[in-house]
Amino acid sequence: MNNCKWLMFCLLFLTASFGLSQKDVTISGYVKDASSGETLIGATVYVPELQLGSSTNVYGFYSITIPEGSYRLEWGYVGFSDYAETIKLNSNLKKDIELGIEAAQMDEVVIVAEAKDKNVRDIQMSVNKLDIQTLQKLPTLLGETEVLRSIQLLPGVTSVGEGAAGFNVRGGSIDQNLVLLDEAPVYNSSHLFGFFSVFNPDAVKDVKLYKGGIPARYGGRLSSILDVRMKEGNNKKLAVNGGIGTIFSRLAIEAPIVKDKSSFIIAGRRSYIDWLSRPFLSDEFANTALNFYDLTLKTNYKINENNQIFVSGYFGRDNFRFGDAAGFNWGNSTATLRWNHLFSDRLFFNLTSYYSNYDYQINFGDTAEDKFDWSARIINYSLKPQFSYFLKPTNVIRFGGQSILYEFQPANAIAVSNNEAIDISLDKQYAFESNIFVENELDVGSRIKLNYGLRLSLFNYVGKGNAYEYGEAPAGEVKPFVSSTSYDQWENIQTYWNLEPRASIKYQMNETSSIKLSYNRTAQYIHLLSNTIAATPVDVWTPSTNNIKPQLADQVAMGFFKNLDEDKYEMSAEIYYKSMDNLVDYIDGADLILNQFLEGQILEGEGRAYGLELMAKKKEGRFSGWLSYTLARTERQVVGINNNQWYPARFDQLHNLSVTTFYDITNRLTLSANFVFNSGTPTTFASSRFEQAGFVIPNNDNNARNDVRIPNYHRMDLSLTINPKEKPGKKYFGKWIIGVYNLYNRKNAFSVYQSQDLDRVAPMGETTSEALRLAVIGSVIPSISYNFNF
Amino acid sequence: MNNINKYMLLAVLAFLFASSCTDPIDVDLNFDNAQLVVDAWVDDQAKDQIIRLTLTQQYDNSARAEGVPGATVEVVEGSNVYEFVDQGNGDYKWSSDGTTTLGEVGDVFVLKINADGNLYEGTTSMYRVPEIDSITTEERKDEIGFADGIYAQLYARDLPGIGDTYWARTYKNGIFLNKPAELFPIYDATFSPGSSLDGITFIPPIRELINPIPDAPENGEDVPSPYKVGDEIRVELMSISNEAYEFLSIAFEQMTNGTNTIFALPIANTRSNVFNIITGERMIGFFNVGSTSVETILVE
Repeated sequence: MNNCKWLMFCLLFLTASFGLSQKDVTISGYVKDASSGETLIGATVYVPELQLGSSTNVYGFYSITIPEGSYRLEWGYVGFSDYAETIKLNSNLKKDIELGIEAAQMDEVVIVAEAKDKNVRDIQMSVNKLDIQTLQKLPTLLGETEVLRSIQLLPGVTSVGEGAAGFNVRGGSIDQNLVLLDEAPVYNSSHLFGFFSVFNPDAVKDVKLYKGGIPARYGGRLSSILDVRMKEGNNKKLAVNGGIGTIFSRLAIEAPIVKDKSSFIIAGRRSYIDWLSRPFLSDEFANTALNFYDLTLKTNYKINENNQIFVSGYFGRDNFRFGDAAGFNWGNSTATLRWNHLFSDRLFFNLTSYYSNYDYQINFGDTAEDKFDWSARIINYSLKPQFSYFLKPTNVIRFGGQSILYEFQPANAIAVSNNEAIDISLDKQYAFESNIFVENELDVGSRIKLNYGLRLSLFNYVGKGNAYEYGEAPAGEVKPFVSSTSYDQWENIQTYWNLEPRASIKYQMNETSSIKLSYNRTAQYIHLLSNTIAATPVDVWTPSTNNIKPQLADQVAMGFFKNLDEDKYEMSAEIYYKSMDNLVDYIDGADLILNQFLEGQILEGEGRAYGLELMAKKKEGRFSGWLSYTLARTERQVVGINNNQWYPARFDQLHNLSVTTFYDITNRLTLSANFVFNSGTPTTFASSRFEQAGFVIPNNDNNARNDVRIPNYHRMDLSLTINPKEKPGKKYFGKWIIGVYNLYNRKNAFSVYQSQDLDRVAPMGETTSEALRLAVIGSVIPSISYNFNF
Repeated sequence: MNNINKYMLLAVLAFLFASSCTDPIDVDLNFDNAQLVVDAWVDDQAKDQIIRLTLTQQYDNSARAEGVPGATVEVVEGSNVYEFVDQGNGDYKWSSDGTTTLGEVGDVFVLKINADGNLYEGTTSMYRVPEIDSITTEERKDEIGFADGIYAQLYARDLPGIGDTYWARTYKNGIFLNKPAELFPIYDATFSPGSSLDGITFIPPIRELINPIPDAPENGEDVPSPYKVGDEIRVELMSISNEAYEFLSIAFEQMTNGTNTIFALPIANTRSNVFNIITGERMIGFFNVGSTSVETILVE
C-alpha cells in the first residue's frame, strides 16, 4: 500500500508547517441567529483593513488568524443585519456572534443565504444551495414543500419523470448521488415512490448539492453529494411550527433544554389519505392502510467553549396494507452522533458516527398453509473523524478519514406452500469501506484561490458468505455459474482501492467576475440494482464483489461567474465533461430480486456525460427568482446492449429549462410561479410483432436501445402565499399557501409504451397493438395548505 | 420473483395514480422488412402436431400473421424423421394415428427447415414433467382484489432437482387462454430461477394463474366470475427447456410491460434456439418439444 504511505507523508508535511507565524493571533467562534440560536452556515467575517475574510463552516464555526493589532471586524449573513466591532487583538480570542434578522426583511425571502458575492468569490463551483425559506415559497405538487423536487429546478439536475424516485445529476444514475441527512446516508430518499421526499422541511436548515469540483472530504458516490443539514433547535425559546396540507399534517417543536447551551427539535409528519378515504371504501377494504410518516429529531449540548455534541435521528415509513392478505412497507432510519471539539482556536475537530438502515417488508397470504414473507435490508455503521486547520485566513487545511461497515441483506424470505415452509433467503453480504483524505485550500495572491486534495478509498468485500465464479457467455447473455467458494466471517474476499485526486482553482478577474476550473475523480463501491424506468422501493443495494467492480468517474468542469448591480444579479455558466467506468447494467430479462446468481446477469458498461449549464438569479427586490438552463447529453456503452454501440441513457435530456419567480404583491402577498421545459427522454419501441404459441409478441428489429424520444415535457405551476399581519407583540403567525400544479392541464408523458388488446380476442382473431402515452399527472392539481408558528 | 414484486407495486400504484391517464398516440416505427418466424411448440400428446412458419409485421398492424407455405419442415430424433406436411397456409402438420407420439423424455430432437433456399436448424430435448395432482375450485366472496365467483387452483408438485421448467396452458371450454398476462412459464415451483425453491407444491400465485383474466366490465357491470358451474377447465402442464423458459419469460415481460407504468422494463427481444445454419444468425420464434400432464375437470 505505497499510496497510503505517500498520503501519510503529505499529511505530516502539512502538519509540520502548522504554527509558523509567531506573532499572529486568532479570533474564532460561532455565528448564530439571534432569534433562535441556530448556527449560521456560510456566514462571513471580514477585516476591511487587511482585506481578509473567512466564513463559517457547516457547524457555524469560524476562525481567522491575523497579526496582532486593533481591527474593525465585520460579521455578516444575507438577510441578517451586519455586526461590526473594533477589537484590540493581542491574544487569541473567542467571539460568538449573534446576528439579528434585518428589520425590513422580517420573514422575508432570501434566495441565497450567503455572502452576497459568494457565487463569484468562493472557490467552489458546480454547487447549488437552497435555503428553506426559498423552498417554502416554491409552487409544489399538492402544496408540500419538497427538497428533492425543488432541486430539479437547478441546472444539471433531471429526473426520468414525475413520481420517479431520486434524481439524476449531470448524467449520473440515481444511485450515484450520496444523499446525506446530518451526515448519515439515506438509501431511499422518497415517500410514495418519488412524489415526496423523506426530508421534513420543518427540520431542515440547509441543502447543498455538489455536482462537480467535489472536495476531497466528500466521496463514495460518482455524481453528486446532496448534503442536508438539520436544524439544531431553538435554544432561546419554545417555538412551534406546523402545517395542515392536502397530503401531510406536520408539527415541529423546538425549545431550549438549558438556555444557550442545549436545545432540541422534534418534527413529525403523517399522511392521511387513508383516514380521509376510509368512509368511502367498501367493507372489503376495512383492513387497508395507505400512509407514510416520518419523525426527525435532534438535540445538542454545549459542554463548554471547546466541546459540543449533537445527536440526531430520523425514522420514516411508507405503509401499505390490503386487508389481511397482503402488506408492503418500507423506510429508512438514521442516527447520528457528532462531537465538535476545538483542539485550539485554529484546529477544529468533528467526529461523526452514524447508523443508517433501509429496509422493506412484503407479505402475502392470510393463512398459515400458504404465505410468503419477505424482507430486505441494508445497514451501515460509520465513524468519521475530520479536522479543519485554519492556518491563515488564506489557508485552510482539512484532513480526516472514515470507516464504514456495511451489512447487506438482499432477501430474507420464507415461502409456505401447501403447509411446507421453505427458506429461500439469500446470503447476507458484508463489506468495509474506508478512506483518508487531505485537502488544502489556499489563496495565492489576491486573485487565485486553490483547493486541492487527495482521497484514498479502500473497499473490502468480506465474509461470511459465498463468492461465486462465473464462466464466459456471449455478449448480453447469462454467464454460467461455475463454482462457489465459502468464506468465514470477516475473511477478505475481494479488495479494491482507488486514489481520487480532486482540484479546483479560481481566478478572480475583477471585483465581480471570476473563472473556476475543477477536476475530480470519484469511486463508488456500492450499487443499486434497478432496471426499471423509475427505481422501485424493492430494489436492493449490492456491494462491489469479485464479479462487480467499483464504478469510477472523472469529471472536469469550467465555469464563469459574474455578479451585476452590486450583487443583485448573479450569473454563471459552466461546462462539464464526465466519463464513467464499470457502470452496472443487466442482460435482457434479468431477474434482480431473490436471485442467488444475479451477478451472472450483470453487464459492465461505460458512460459519458457532457453539458452546458447556465444560471441567472435576481436575488433582491420585489421581483426575484432564477432561470436555469442546461444543454446536456448522457450516453452509455454496454457490450450486449444496442449492438454494442453508444446510446442515450433513459434520463438523457438535451434541453432542460426552468424559470422560477417570486413577486411580492404587497408585504403580505407573494406570488410564485415556475415553468419547466424538458426535452423528451429516450425510449425504445418494438418495431414489429410476431405470433408464437398463440400469443402476439413484440420485437425490436434493430435490437436498439433508446432510439426514439417521448414528447417534450412542459408545465407551469403557481402559488400564492398569504403571510400573516405583522403586529408588535403578536405571537401566533398563520400562513396560507394556495397553489395550482400543472396550470394549463398538460398531459405530460412519463413514458410512451406499447400495448395490445386487454380484452379477450377470439381464437385466431385479430389483435390490435398500439402505442400509449402514460401521464402520471393528467390534470390540474390545486392545493391549499395552512402553516403556523408561534 | 419479478412478478411477485410487480403485483405488489401495481396494487399500490392503482391507489396512487388516480390522476394518471393513458391515451393512444402515433409513433414512428422502424419496421423495415418482414422476417421469417418459426412457431414450433410441439408435445408428446398422441394428436396432430403443428409447426407454423409466418412473417413478422409492423407492430401496429393488427392483422393475423401471414403464413409462409412452400417450405419443408421435419423433426429428427435419432434415426426417426417426423415429416411435417405443408398445409398451404403456413401450417405444417405431423399426423398422429391416435397412439403415436413424438418420442419420449430424454430424446434429443432437431428441427430442420428449408425455406426459400435457406436452411434453419434448432435442437432441443424433451424434459420431464410432474403429474397434475388436482384442479380444485372454490367460491370467493368479498376478498380484496377478487371479483366474487368461482376460482380454480392447479395443484402439482415440482420434481426434485433445481432447474425444471414448465408451462401450464389452460383451456376454458376448449378455448385457449391467451391474454398476455395468462402466459406464465414456471421455474421449479415458482416464477423464476435463483430462488432455490425446489420440489414443493407450486406456490399460490402460480396455482391461481389458471383463472382467466376478465375483460374490463362495461359501465356499471360487475367483473365476471372466472368460472361458472358447468365450465370445463383443461390444463396442459408441459415441460419446456430452460431456454424456452427464458423465451417465454421475456415474451411475458414484454407483452405486459405497459402495465408496469413507471416501473417499465427496458425493451428486450426474445431469443430463438433456431439458427440459419449458413449465416449462423438466430431466427425469430422457438422450438420446444414437451412432455405433458393433462387434467380436465367440470366445475360443479
